[in-house]
Amino acid sequence: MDIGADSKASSFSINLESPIKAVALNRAGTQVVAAGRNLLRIFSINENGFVEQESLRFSNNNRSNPTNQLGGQCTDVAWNLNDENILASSTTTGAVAIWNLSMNAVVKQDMIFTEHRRTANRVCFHPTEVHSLLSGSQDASAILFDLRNREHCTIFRCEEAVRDVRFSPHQYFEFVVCLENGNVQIFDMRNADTCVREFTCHAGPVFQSHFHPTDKTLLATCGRDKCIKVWNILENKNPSLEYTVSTIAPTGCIAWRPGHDTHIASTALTTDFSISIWDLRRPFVPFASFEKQTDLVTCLVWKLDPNIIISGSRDGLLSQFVTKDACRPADKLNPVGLDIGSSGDLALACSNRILQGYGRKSGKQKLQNMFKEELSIAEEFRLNATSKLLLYPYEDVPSLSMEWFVESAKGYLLYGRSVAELCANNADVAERNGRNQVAQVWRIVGFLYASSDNNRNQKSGHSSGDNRVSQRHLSEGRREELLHVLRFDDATSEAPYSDNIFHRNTRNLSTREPSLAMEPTSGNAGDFLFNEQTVFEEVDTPFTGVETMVDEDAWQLQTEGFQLRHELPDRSDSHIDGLATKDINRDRNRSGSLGPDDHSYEDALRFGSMTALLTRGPTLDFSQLVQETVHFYAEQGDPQTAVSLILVLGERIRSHFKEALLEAWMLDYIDLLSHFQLFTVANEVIKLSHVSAVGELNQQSTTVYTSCNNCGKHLHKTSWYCTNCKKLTNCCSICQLPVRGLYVWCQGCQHGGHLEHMEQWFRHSLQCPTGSCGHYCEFI
Amino acid sequence: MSLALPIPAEHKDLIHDVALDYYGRRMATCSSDQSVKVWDLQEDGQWKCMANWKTHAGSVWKVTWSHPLFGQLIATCSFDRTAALWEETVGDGSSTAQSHWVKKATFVDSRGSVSDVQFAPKHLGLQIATTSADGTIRIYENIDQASLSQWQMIHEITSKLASISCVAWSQSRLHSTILAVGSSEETTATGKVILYELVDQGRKWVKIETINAIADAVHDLTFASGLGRSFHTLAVASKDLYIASITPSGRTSSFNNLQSIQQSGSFNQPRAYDIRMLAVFKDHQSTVWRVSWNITGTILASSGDDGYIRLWKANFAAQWGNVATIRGDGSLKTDEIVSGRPSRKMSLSESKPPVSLNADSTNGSSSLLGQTLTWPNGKSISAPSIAMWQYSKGT
Repeated sequence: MDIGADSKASSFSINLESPIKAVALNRAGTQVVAAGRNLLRIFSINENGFVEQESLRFSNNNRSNPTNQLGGQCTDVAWNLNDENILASSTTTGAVAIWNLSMNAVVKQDMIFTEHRRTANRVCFHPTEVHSLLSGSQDASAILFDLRNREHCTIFRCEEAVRDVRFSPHQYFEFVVCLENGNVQIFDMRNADTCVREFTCHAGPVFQSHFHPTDKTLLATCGRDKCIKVWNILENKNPSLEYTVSTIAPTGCIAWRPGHDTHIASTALTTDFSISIWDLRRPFVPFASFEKQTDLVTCLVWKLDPNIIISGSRDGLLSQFVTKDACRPADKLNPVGLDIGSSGDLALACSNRILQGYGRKSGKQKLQNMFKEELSIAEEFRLNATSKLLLYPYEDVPSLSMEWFVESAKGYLLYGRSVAELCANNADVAERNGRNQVAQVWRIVGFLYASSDNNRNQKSGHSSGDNRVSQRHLSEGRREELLHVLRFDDATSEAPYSDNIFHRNTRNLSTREPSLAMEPTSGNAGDFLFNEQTVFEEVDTPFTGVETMVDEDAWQLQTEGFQLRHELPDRSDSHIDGLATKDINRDRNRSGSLGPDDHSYEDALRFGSMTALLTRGPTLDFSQLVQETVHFYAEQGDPQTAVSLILVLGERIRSHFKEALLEAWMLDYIDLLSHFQLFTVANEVIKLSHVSAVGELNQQSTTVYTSCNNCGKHLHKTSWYCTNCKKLTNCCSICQLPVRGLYVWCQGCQHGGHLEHMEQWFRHSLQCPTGSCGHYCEFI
Repeated sequence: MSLALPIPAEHKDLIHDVALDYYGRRMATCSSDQSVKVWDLQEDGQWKCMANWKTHAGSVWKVTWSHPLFGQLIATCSFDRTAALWEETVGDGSSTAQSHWVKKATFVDSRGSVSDVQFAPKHLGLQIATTSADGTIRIYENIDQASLSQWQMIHEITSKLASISCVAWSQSRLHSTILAVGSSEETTATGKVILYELVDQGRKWVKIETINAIADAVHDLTFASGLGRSFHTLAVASKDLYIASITPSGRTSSFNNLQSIQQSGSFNQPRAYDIRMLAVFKDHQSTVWRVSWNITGTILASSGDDGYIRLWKANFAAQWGNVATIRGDGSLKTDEIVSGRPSRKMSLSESKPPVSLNADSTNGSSSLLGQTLTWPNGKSISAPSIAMWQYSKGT
């Protein structure tokens, strides 16, 4: 391959202002003829442009003289390969004209053959025989002309309109004919009666065929079915399909690239304005393409040089393209696919080029080397066609794993116990999943609300211990005490709060039977409440013993109990900050050892009293703090923590958020849960949400419609009577009565009936009980 | 040590996209060989090819799953200038070894290669955005819920970008929807990412911004899932990796403000947006091809021409950093991820309490990502609360 010549050649074009239908080169490749409507012009190809040599004039009288049938449009043009002066052109009227450039007349038209009755689609000179011209036409014939003798022509009848004719460059006597019905016929010119071989190439018309320039066995065809196909036409064998290139539009024109055995150029008949050069070894992506055209390219030829294409287009541009100006679609292909699954699996599809480190070369270097390493680029192009698909399971990529989410979702308790207990449990869950900060938040919130609840009680005139007792009893799930607590709440605490308690209590009764699954001494570090409980063990007994206890009595009893054990020290005017810190520090220290501890109790009481004193008047409100925390987690993209906090705290906090915000968070959390198919948790969230838009979610699509087993119609009114076929549906095959209760049926034949009847039947039989069915049912 | 589970894809040409479904149990791959394959995760942890069919007459650029609410749907787009919607058909139950996919709709409006196809977030219903090399964004809507073949083009946005390569929907349901498009055009040095906002109750798309900071060809971009955040996070794969936040403005980090915006709630007019580049990473030292967020939008994976996958995460101070690097062929991982611990330290949720009492707290300032979430009223912190936080910090 001559590289020096390549570098000199450049792409250029000339506008002929008339659609070009065909181009042909002379043997030397120095001149080109373009044909179209009233257009037949010859150009010499210079280094930087086309120079017009001659514009062949059609005979003037073509309109007045009806016998002169050249008036139509040129459909094809051919340049005699052995005589530089002879050209042939075909027209839509079916005439085939021979032009002789050596004639001195104004009209250099030498001969006209008018044998074709309809459009002649193609003319073709024999590669070695100077006087042989072949033409193919819509009238379903191919004609072999002998230029020496006008009268002497051979007509080859075909079964369909002929789209293309082409002499074989390898077999002297053979030529190939492409038909509109998708078949390709190979004729021997000595035998006009029948074709030598015929095979179906395409669905729809075959537009062009092209013999491989060197490999005698290969023939390329293209058709309207958006395919370029390469056939092995080795003699004495059925033609076999070697390669297929699937293009995006019907392919009108193909040409093998000289010097590159596997490259073939193509243009489309519709839609696609580009010229593509395909590598058969990688048939899916064009090796190179020219995409700048603004209209359809109707014809192309290689200029006897593997890097130069001459083409004509419908908008009248006659162009020369040099492959170095082509774009390489393969270079722009995205070689990588990447996705993270919901559980953290990482899927990667990556081209082998990258995986093997070819990708290190920068793009610029590649460009510079492109034409020095033409072959190696072609080779690389082919080799780059493979990708690896890899999956990194989330177990191996710990930072992507979402297990913490699943475990937390499953582990979090959102209702059914006291806030403190819920928080303690959730803190535990969070900690187990390595989310220490979230755990801390849960603990703090639990602490805040355990004590703030106490404050509420204090405000309404009760001592701090009472509420804890009530909560303790709550957790034990004893009905009497719950009722008692309810009464207590109704009587004493603020209305919305009592509602909430009621809410939780009823759940406690109905759904969470083993509510002591989490023992008070389960080691919830930092949980304030549990440490207290040992204290109350002692006072529990009399309390539970009395079933119909009057509220006031209970409280008095309780208060007495406390006062006996501890004096409440009045420290309201000492340094509050320091004290609080101290108290809490003690709490923390104590959280390690969970044994009953008088000090702890004392601390708690001190704290309780202190907060009570602090917030004399309005309650101590932590909601702002929690609100910020919730917002923080929402901003982090952690609706789990945000929503769980809201749900656990319920009415205490909900009013601090906008409904729209709540709704969005809940929906997001529910969506996340459904990613992991945690529908039970999602439903829990829906139930607890108290946001109308969320609550509706599990109210939708709750109806299951059944169909009649006889006619298949939907049953609308009743589920047991089909109004269409006026029959009872789903009758038992044995007793013929409608089945209420358990209905069992065979998945194979859909017959069935009462469970007990079927059991009975299949004890002694294998076949379907209907008798007429005969299906060997499987009854498990 | 190989971590990766190689899957014999057996595509005959490059694989351009891989997509995991909503549950992460199905995978679709598309390739230049014009086919799409669907893989199911088996009980034993292996992926099995359930379907393989020719989808287009050209390279298939992207494949994407719909939300399962709409069924088992796949959308594909191709060099052949079409996008297509495929639905899995329920067979007669005779063969569970193969699944069958039926073409429900073809979108043929594009005059150039269809470079991307994306389903809208669930709350917008069944909508599909396509982008094409001719610079047009088209949005189609399923007009008849009962029939997946009834589609209507509801928007056609002509952008000034030459060849659009990718499109992404914002995922947040709190804010009006944003569409980000990126161009892979290489010749001009203009901004390659344009943002559009859906205004006027979904009747109109209005261009809100061109991100001029990104002037190199963009290959992929994607929004992180919203999940209640007050801002959008956009990752862009270009020559470098970009992470940008897009905050509807008027919305400072103060939560009270956020609520007031919520309250006003009118999305009729395009709002001003505060677009900030959170991070630019050049670690791949070559083209970044793809970006993908995990489902919570906290970790970003990027994959580049250097053959590495890198994972990125923001630390407590909203500083994005690399948490793991994985060699593409799975043969090697950096130490960070083998030990797994350093990356954990980076994690937001484990390093710092949400409310920190530092110097910033007194001036009441706070910034977007909560690195200094402070008391709204810095001075009026009640004493017990302080105690609480010290307690928490000491533990």
